[in-house]
Amino acid sequence: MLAEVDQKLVLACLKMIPQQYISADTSRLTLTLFALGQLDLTKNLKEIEISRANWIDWIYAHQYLTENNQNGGFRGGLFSGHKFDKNGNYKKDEYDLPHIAMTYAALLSLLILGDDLGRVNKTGVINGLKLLQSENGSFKPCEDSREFDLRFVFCACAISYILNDFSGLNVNKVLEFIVKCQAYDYGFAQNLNLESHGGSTYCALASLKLLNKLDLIDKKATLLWLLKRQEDGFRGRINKPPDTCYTFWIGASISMLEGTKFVDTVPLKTFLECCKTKYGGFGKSENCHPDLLHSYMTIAGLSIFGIEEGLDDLNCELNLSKNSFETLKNSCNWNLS
Amino acid sequence: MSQTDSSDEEVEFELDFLLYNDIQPTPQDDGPDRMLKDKKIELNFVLFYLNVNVLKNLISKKKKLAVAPIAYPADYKKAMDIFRTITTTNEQSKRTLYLTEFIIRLNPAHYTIWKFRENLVKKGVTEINEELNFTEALGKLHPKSYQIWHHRQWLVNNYIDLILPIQEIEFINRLLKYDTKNYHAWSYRQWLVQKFNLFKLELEETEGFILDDIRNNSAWNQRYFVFKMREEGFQNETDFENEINYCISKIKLAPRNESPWNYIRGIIKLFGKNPAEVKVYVSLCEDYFQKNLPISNALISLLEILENKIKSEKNDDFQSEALQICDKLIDFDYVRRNYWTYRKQLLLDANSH
Ligand SMILES: [Zn+2]
Repeated sequence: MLAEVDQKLVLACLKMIPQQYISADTSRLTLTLFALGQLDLTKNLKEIEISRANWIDWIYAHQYLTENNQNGGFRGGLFSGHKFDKNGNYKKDEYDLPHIAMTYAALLSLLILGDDLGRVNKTGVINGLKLLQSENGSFKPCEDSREFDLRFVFCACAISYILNDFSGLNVNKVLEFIVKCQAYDYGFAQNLNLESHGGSTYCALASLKLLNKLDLIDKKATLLWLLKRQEDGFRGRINKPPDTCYTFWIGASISMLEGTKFVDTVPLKTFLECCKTKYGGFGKSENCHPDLLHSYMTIAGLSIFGIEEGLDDLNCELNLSKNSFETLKNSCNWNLS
Repeated sequence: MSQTDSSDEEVEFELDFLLYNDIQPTPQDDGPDRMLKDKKIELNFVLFYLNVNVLKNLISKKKKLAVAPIAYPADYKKAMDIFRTITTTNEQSKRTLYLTEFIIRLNPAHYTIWKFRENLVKKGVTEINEELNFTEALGKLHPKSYQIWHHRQWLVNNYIDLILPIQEIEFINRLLKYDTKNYHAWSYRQWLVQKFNLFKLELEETEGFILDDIRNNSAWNQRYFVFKMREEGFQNETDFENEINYCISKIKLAPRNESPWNYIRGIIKLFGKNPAEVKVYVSLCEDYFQKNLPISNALISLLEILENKIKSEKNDDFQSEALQICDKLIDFDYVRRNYWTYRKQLLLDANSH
């Protein structure tokens, strides 16, 4: 079994991860998402039942609070130096800000843990989005950043979708920006004029899907670009080597364009088998250490292509299991239709 | 305190923690769980993997508060404890500059530290030239860190008088030597080319990159960017034809290389031409088709042309050629055979209506 039912490595990672992960110190909530997401897709969440309530509190401790809800969201870690508070904290100093990708990761992780998002300061989060959109429609991750690109457009769309409120963004400008990011080869680039890229293509398609606007683009040409990324495994860019994470980025994109039936899963499976490590988990390619991101994205890909039985289905545009999507639909008080 | 330099030699950067003795450390409060706070744990990859089973079993026995806590190296933790205090006191000094460098070297993705450092630069705590050297040294160590590139761009944008654009291109070229497809480098380069109108130079530069590696898709993309964004676009038909010929010569060198195929289609569209009317391009594709060579990109190009023709006029010759191409793609492009079978079916369905 590729996805490994007992998820030994992930359970160890949830306990503690090695020092090589310090580069993720400001984005620990993404690690949380990748670890919990694996347990969710492999239907192993019962293993962590004892910690569930504590972990929900721990995630809420990252919440950014403001007096008049003029801003909100989540920090990526507890590195700013607040006293731990399971309700979150107000701004500590000028360097203490919420980050849009971390808000996305927090909301998803909470849903995976079965939380109803009742303690999320919804108004603050939506108002926070308004501070991040640029003139051309793109988004930056936090107020004092200059990194505008498609990744954060996707985060803004996913957050708005989850909270069922798109008033934090100028949707027309978002659409305009996404369409302009499509490169001459029909893949999408992270920003205007850049090279087409599997990750950006996912961000573009998922945003369009969440906005119900996939018809704005040439789907046929985009699908062909995506299918052409397969060698045995998927590659993120033209003439780059395959990498397991693109099983998700490209796979989910293909799925949104209803093209999974065109993919040859036999060589894909062989490639993924080579990238599985003896400790469990997946590295980005053969002979690499396993890491949480690549392990999660491989398992998500196995689910998308139905390569392994017993995995939960994936909602590709949110990057969330069917089971946790049900939590969103049924438990959150703004009921998605 | 060691100085950074821009040579290829890596300098070990050590921090004298005695300098910060008077600063009350602010530890990270990761919740009531004491495990991380009380014990010094140096958990590297090797130790971690040896202990996967032990760690895994711990989880079911004891409630945990933090999710996936990082086993911080002791020095990183110590430095961060000081940093958490100075963001509040906002001390802008040489010693806080050293502190940012120390942390950045351990974790170049730490955007808060970069922001703090940016304010130190604005305050004049360090020289701009030294800062440029610093980003270059760091860029060589961590070429995929977004923050380094954004910091560099901010520096150049704000201290434009101190910078020669051509030297900046040379800087990027030095970093591209390590990875010619570095996305951040190309992104920054596009900003620079537009900012200083370096399109003329850039066209030659991309030619050099393509000469070095004909499969460097980033370089092909950059070439397209030049034609799209330079003010004059294509000056005339000859200018366009030259580019088509350039591209065809590159295709002939490595016909399975996808980059120039996408590029030539892009250029034709950019110039506003119908691909079917670009004779050299059509005959190149037909040549590969007639010779029965497994060049799927030639076949895909030809199929696109034929499908457009079929749309405007029903013609059995076009139809049968298109079907033949699909059959060849099913054969040559084996991994996508299901897709080409579907495309063939679409053609058959359209014909039966
Ligand atoms: Zn990867």
